[in-house]
Amino acid sequence: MAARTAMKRTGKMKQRIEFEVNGKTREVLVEPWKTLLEVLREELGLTGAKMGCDDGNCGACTVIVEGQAIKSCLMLAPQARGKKILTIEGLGSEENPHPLQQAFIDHFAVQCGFCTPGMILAAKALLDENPEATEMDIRENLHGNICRCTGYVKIVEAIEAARDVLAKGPKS
Amino acid sequence: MSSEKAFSPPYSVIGKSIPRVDALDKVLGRAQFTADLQRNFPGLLHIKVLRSPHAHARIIKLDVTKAEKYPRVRAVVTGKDCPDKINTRAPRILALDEAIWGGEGVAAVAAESPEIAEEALRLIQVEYEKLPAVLDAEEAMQPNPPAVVDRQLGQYRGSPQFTPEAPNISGHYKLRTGDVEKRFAEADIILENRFSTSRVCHSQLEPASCIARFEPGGGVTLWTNGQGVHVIRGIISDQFDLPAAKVRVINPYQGGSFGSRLRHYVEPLATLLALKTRGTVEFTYTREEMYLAGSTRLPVVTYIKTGARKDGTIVAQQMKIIVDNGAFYAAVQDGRMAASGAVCVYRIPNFFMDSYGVNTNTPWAGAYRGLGTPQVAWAVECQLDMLAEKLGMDPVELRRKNVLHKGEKNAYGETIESIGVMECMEKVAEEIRLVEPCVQEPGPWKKGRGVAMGGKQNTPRGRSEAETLVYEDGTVEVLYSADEQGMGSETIMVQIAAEEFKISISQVRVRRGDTAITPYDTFSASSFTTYNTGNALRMACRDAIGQVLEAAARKLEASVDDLALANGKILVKGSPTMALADLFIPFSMFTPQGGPSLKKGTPVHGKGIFAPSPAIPWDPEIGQTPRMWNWYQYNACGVEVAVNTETGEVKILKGVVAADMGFPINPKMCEGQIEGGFGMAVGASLLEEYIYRDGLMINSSYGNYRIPTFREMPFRDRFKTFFASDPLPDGPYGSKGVGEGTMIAVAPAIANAIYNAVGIRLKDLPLSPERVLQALKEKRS
Repeated sequence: MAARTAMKRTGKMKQRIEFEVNGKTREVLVEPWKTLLEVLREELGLTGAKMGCDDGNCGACTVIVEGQAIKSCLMLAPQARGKKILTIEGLGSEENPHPLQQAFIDHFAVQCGFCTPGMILAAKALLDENPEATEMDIRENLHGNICRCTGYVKIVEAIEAARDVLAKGPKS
Repeated sequence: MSSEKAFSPPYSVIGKSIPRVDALDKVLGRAQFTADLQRNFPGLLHIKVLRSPHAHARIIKLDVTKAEKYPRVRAVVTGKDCPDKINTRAPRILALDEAIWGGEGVAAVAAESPEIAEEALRLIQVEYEKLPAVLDAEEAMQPNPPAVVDRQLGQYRGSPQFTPEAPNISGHYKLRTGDVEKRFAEADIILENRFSTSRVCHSQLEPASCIARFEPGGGVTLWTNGQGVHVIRGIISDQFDLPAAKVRVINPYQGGSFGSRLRHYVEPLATLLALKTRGTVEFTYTREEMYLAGSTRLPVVTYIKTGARKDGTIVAQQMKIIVDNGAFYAAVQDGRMAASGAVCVYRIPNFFMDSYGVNTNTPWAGAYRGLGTPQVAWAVECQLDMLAEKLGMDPVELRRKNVLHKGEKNAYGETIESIGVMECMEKVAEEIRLVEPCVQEPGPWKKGRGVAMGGKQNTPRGRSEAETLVYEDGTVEVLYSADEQGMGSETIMVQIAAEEFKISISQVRVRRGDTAITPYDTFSASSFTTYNTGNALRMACRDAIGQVLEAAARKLEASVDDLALANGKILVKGSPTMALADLFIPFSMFTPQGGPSLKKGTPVHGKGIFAPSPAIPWDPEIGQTPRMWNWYQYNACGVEVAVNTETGEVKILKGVVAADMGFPINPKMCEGQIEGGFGMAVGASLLEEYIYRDGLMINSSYGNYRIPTFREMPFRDRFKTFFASDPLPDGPYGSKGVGEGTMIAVAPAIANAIYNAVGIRLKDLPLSPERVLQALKEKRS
């Protein structure tokens, strides 16, 4: 964080950064010390990723970069140059929600909803990598995403239900 | 007991686990929270605050001229620029002559970017003179304390109960019933202990955030995640001398609150700077600010002396309850609410209780899920297990012997209307297999089981209004102002409207939380949204239905008693139905558009108002009254833990919770509250505490202040929830509330289980590895 503060004071020159967000090529002109989270929210209007702490401890800003769940408050915008980024807005739609989104609704895994986008994307990255993830795998892989409302019980339930749906059907 | 079937028979929507109506927006990432709206305001200014690095200091010099001159800074304010009106619902905006806790705001900057605002803060020159600070409530409450925290204490408007026995005591409540001295003398056994709880923070995921826009003509519009749009309007209008009609407050979704947002710590400063810059400003707390200058839970010290007969009957109890307000009292200032946790569960015929609110030079505290009752129940429920052991009695039997029954009077003199606590306890004791010894394995981990129970009062306050608009197509719009901080109030309101109008939930739309549009409500607190706002909405539904049926009766020349409204149709006894739409007269030049009939394009407008009957004042010397509070929600918890005798770690292997929330309108959402309350309580029990150095909190981040993750919870198949509902006569459909009770029994259940596992009795929260190890060491020597 200290390095970023120093950069903020000196690095006023904006940089052109191109990446792919939710399947579309996007180009932004931003100061190099801006985080990916800030760019997504402020430049691209993708406010599904939330800022809960700004130091990588809550996971509310989780997005998927090149298949990996990352905390977008810890990635500077230039580090995302040329990468493929998936945010919650690109995962599913009202007509066709992703099985994880549907499972979070069906299993009451949502309360205040502030952790939900990050939680769903962290779960997606896990299930993409390990389609047979057990409750133990979920607990170990997602413990960097915190939720203060649910006690996690129904979140685990939803992820396990989505895992089973994804195992049966064609991958969306 | 936990199945939904038991609750559903007479209803079509109520009592069923209807999916949350806000869930789709939330999983798609399109639900709007306050900070998400910032991009809608071009030219938005950003506020940053300079905070005191001392627990208590006099501000000798404060020079902001360099900051004011910094390019793209639009305004700098200090305590001198703040309105001098103090409101007990909001801490003072900025320090004036003294900063009274580590983290209190001293100056604020509004600039064109957050980075510039931060840079400008560094240009502000402050000289402090460190003053003695008092961090400990027991020290602070002395007649001659090391420091006087707040010299204005007692001058706050709205604090008639201020009793200046000592300069840091904000209030004192006394409960006196029977003859305690005499009964202690006759008791077979007397047990005396001291228990304490740490300072913990709500740590809700979404930081406090507000956008304030100056309106031409001198008004202001606020978008905020603070609770209670009308209460906020009242505070802002009062502090800034603005007519209420010139203050509009809009409430997007709130990312958790748990009581944190009941006091308003971002809205006044945002308003001040919006008025000063005549622009639009945003003020969003950092996570560090949430810990230092947001609300916290009240740390409580409880002295408890219990006298009992050999058969387990409690004959007398004396308690002294010291509630640490921090630097600003933001709760009931006499500790009465925390103390209620010791009154609402057991029959205590002779009770001598004092509770105090005490100010200290620490971050301010206030409402936090349960408002003090879990901290006091922590003492009561550990004490009962210790008493049971001394009596050689089963801890459940001891509770059964002393628990209050419906129709009985508690120590306040209130008659208990609804109490399902013992049913909760019987269920958890059975499910956790309390009577069976744990099978121990070789190695350092030792297992044990424990139970506890408790109750939370509901504060009889507030006024909730609701409106319904019934359209000719049979759809219904509901308007109300209760918060949606995650507990599911929107879903409950939609269920109530759908039930009353006999329509599907998709035919109900919600308009919520905008003082310019939606009717008055207080805020969502004390678990009363279903009860207060739900009752009001039910009346608003019935009002509209009554109007529709009257119109139908006129048209059909039938008696209203023979008519009913369901699914957009008028049902007539013994006749074919009539479409609701046919009651609405279309506009034409040749039809009368006045008169009592329903008109196309103009919905029928129903209104409802609900306000619980108020508390009845008590004699301050004895504290008794037939109505101190409203109803009580109850809870019991059983856990199986493993204690590592080498590291002091405590793992929760199994958890069972049963709750009495009255009739559960949405069982799955009630389960969610129980699970969430358990998780939150695990944090307060095992992990969470403010750590201070020189009076300053040094662990003010999620990384250093640990809240439970997936790992701290028991596995899904080892965690069970149950309902033991005792319906409330005046609750909507018999419901009470569920949000807060779920915190109460967890910490003492864990402590009782630790005792069962390794024979150590911990009396201070959190039950950290250091404390467990220390106690194990003391036990061995």
